Amino acid sequence: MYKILIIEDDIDLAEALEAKLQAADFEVTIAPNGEKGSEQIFTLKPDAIILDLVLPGDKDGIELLEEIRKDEWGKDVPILILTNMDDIDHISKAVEHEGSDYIIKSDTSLDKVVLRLKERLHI
Amino acid sequence: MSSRKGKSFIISLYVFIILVFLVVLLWIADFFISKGWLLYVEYDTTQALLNALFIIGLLTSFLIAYIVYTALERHRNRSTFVENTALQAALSSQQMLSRLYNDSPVPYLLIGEDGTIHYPNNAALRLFGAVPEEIEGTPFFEYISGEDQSHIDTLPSLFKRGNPINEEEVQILRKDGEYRWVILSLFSQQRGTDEEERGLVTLVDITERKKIDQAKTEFVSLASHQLRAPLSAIKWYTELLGDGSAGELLPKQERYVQKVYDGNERMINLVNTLLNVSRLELGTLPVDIEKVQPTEIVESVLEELQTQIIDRKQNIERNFDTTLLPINTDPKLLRMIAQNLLSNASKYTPIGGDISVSLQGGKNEIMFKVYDGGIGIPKNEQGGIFKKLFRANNATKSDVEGTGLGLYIVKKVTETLGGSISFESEEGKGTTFTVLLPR
Repeated sequence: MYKILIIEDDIDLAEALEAKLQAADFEVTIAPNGEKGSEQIFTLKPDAIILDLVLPGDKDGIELLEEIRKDEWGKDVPILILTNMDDIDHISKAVEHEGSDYIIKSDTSLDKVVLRLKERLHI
Repeated sequence: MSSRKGKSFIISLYVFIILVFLVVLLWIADFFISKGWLLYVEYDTTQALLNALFIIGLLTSFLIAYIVYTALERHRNRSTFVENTALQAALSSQQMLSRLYNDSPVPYLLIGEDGTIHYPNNAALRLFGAVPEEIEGTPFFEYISGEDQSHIDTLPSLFKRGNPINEEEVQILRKDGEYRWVILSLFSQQRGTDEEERGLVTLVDITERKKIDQAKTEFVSLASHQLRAPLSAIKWYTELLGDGSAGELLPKQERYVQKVYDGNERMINLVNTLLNVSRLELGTLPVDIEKVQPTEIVESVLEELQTQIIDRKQNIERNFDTTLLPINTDPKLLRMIAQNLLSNASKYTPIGGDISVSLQGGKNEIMFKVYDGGIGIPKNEQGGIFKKLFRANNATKSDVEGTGLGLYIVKKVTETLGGSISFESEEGKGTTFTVLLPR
């Protein structure tokens, strides 16, 4: 079973994602902010990460992304970026890291999220 | 002034001398006659007459000379008076100009041939946050910077060539290190009254305006981000309800959930549209050019609209040039154009109607055509079709939704990409939109 870590501060959205992913046979953990997310990443070592860009606290999505990518293990883990932001300048930095597109939550159905996730995991 | 007085005196003196000379001539004639050398005339009466004439002549000369003198003096005084008045007028208008220059709310300064600052007015001093000694004689262009630095660097040479600089948006570095945004204009004089000053610079402070624009952009971004969060929640939970994740739904429940989902989708589209319109208006729409295969994008949009098209039992005819090479454009913006045109085509075409899409390539541009056999646009409303918030009457009747912003966005985005859009339409028959985009 693939382990997915969701780093999302909106608990409603996180739980919706969780429900969908669990129904698709994924094992799901949720972290509500950058610090907790950081801890979980390196203890859990998930197969993929779903990351929100805007996070409360000291560590926001972009910083966390950079931190993960600097790590030996972290540099290869598939990360799906979810956001509702429309600030391309801000987002393009993240996209550069990923070399792939980001997902706008309000424009993407849960089905599509699962599809994209499977693509990144090559399932 | 004293030389003028002297002049009148000398002129009068000349007149006097000439007259006296004439009188003397008379006296000499008189003398010759008395000596009998000139005329054989009875001397006594003539002599008396001539003597009298001699005296009258002398007096008249004095009188004439005096008249001439006073006339000249009066003239001199009048012209001195006129001169004084003109001078005073000139002085007071110079004072007025001086005051205008110094007290103008618009910062003025003059620059010398060497690009150094001279005569900053009070507003300029306030703008620079400096006293005259701090900026007088310093190089003007060193205070200037801006967003397009490579363009700003060309300004000094424009000035040297005597070209005017028109309304450049630049930043000025103040003495206290703060930056202010200004509109810079420079008027060069080929030859000033004082060879030193070559150009007049005006600076209009637009820092507040810039701040407001920035605030507007940030507000739009923030608002759309905040609005999207609850919309995402509704989207996902209705999706979960709809697909039975919370238990099998009765048909009625499924229908109602679908309605909630659809309503929410409309709201999401509206937020996206408003965000785009706002970006277009503020000029902050990001354009990222890359190599794009237009057929892929159009196909992907058609796929997105599949559900709607199938529901409305519409037929899509594709006419894609398979040899079409990729073009240089922004894929997101091309997608926006295709989405708007194709979803309109489906929306305004009746159930079972026909839609055709074509993509053809020319040497310098590609042509994207969308034809729909729909309600068409009435002739008298065709002029307004690209206007913001415009919806033709028959459109509003056939479909209550619709913001009237879609075509406005398509036109603006097309133009942003350097292309153009046109259409042909007949009410009740259908419409064809043609978009041309440069390679």
